Amino acid sequence: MAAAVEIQGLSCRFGGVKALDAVDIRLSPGEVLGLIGPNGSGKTSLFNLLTGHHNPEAGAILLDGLDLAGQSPSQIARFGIARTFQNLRLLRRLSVYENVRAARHACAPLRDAFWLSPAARRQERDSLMNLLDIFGLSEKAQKTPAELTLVQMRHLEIARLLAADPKLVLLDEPAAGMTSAETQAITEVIATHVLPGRSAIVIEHKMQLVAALCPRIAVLNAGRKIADGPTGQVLADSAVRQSYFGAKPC
Amino acid sequence: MDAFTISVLSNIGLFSFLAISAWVLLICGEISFGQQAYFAIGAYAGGIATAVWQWPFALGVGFGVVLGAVIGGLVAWPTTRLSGMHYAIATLAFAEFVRSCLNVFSYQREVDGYLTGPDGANGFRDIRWAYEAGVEPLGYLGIIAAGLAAVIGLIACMARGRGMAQLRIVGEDPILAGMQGLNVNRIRIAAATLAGGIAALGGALYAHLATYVEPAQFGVMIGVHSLAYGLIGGLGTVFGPILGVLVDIGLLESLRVFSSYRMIVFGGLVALVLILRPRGILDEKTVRRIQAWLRR
Ligand SMILES: Nc1ncnc2c1ncn2[C@@H]1O[C@H](COP(=O)(O)OP(=O)(O)O)[C@@H](O)[C@H]1O
Ligand SMILES: [Mg+2]
Repeated sequence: MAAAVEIQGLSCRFGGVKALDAVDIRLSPGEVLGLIGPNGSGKTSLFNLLTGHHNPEAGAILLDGLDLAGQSPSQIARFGIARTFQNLRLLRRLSVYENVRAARHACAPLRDAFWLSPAARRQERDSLMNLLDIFGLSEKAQKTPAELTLVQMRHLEIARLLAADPKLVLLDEPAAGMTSAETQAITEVIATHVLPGRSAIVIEHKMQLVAALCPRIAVLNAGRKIADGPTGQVLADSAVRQSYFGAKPC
Repeated sequence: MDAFTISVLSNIGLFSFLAISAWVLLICGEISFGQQAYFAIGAYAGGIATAVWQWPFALGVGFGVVLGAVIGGLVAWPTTRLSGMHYAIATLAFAEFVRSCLNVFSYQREVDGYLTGPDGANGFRDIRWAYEAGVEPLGYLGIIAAGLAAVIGLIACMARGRGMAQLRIVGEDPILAGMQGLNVNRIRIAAATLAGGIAALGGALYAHLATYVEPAQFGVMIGVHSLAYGLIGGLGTVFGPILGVLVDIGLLESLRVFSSYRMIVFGGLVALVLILRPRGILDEKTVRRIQAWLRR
């Protein structure tokens, strides 16, 4: 189930820094939007506002028409928004398996805290191990995240996100630190397992991934949206090239 | 078993409730120096129920547990906003507050021609259930063991269910926990409720073994020790805090060689373990390794 997203006039500031300045973005259900822009342009801040981690200074976020203003991060997660983190946010004392399982505890009735039937446990185990398998992590299920490579950690974050079965996925530089071959691999996994049936915003600097996954991109610069449209068209735009690639208009 | 062994084992059992209580909160990322407050509440409430109101033992103990759990949850309500040092100090302050209250709390009724019940700083005498029911020290040790087994069983159920995982996720990264849809405040309040109930169970059992309790018994040092047990024993399993108790009471207190240096040795031991193994002897990784080994 994919969600419609409407971001209207969203602003947020940190002290003197205006991280986002009246940003409008609309996503129809199932749409995949690439979000690009130089470092510090406010991309991650947008995710932090969407997940309720930070509160906007102005503006509104509507998920399937529902205003997210004033909702806690946990409620927003239960509405079906899940994200990965640019700097990775894994539970390092828990096993890889428990990291993925972390997405499954929301909404559980109180009884589940004390008792899960063997059938329920097995079912959960099978589905989570299948998920880990997709990311080549099933062998590592009982290891800690620290025993994984950076690439595996990024995979694990995506596996955890999928375990929540979200309607809107927010990927924050999923290929950061990856080689071209690794980027190719994660691009394929995202295309086949993450995007179908979901709306998504993908932050990424690697054009290889953006071009393959996102038919449309928006560009942020210093907190303002400076372009939004079909990927090829936006990338050809001279202002975008100026701000993003520092290249002279051609 | 000789009387000395029985008394040492009973002590180990009773302190284990306190240690597990503080451990539950540690798992949830909270440092409490004040679990002795709930131990005291359980002791007083359980004692009043059986000695003053003449309730049956199980009901009296149950009353202590419920009261400890409810107060634990109520106190957690405003303190979930606090973190780290602030939370630790709040627990300490609350425990001292409870002790001051007990110092002025008098509730005496005539039972069989005798005045019975707490009398402020003079304490609370004649919690005589075990004596009247003819339960020998060894039998009472069995009761303590059964209570401890129940607590361990409950934690084991939570480890099979979602409870322990929820506590651990909140304890490790409350912000991430929120983003995973967990209600962090509710989980913290639940942990404090559980911890309060566990400590109160220990307290109620203690009161009926000691037959006499007084506010001075529930001082800060008890709370500090309770916390240290989990820290040295390890945060990976409920047997961690029990291991901590075993080391302190079973080894240091009971062996003559250590007796006069107990506090020094214990303090040094805590420092050493925390340097070498920040999450205790039975930390999460060790426990996972043991579990993997057992599964083979
Ligand atoms: N939690 C925060 N506290 C203070 N400043 C922040 C915080 N998060 C982001 N910023 C600032 O907001 C701006 C946008 O940051 P960010 O959204 O992380 O950019 P991007 O992800 O596009 O690189 C930067 O100037 C950054 O320093
Ligand atoms: Mg960023």
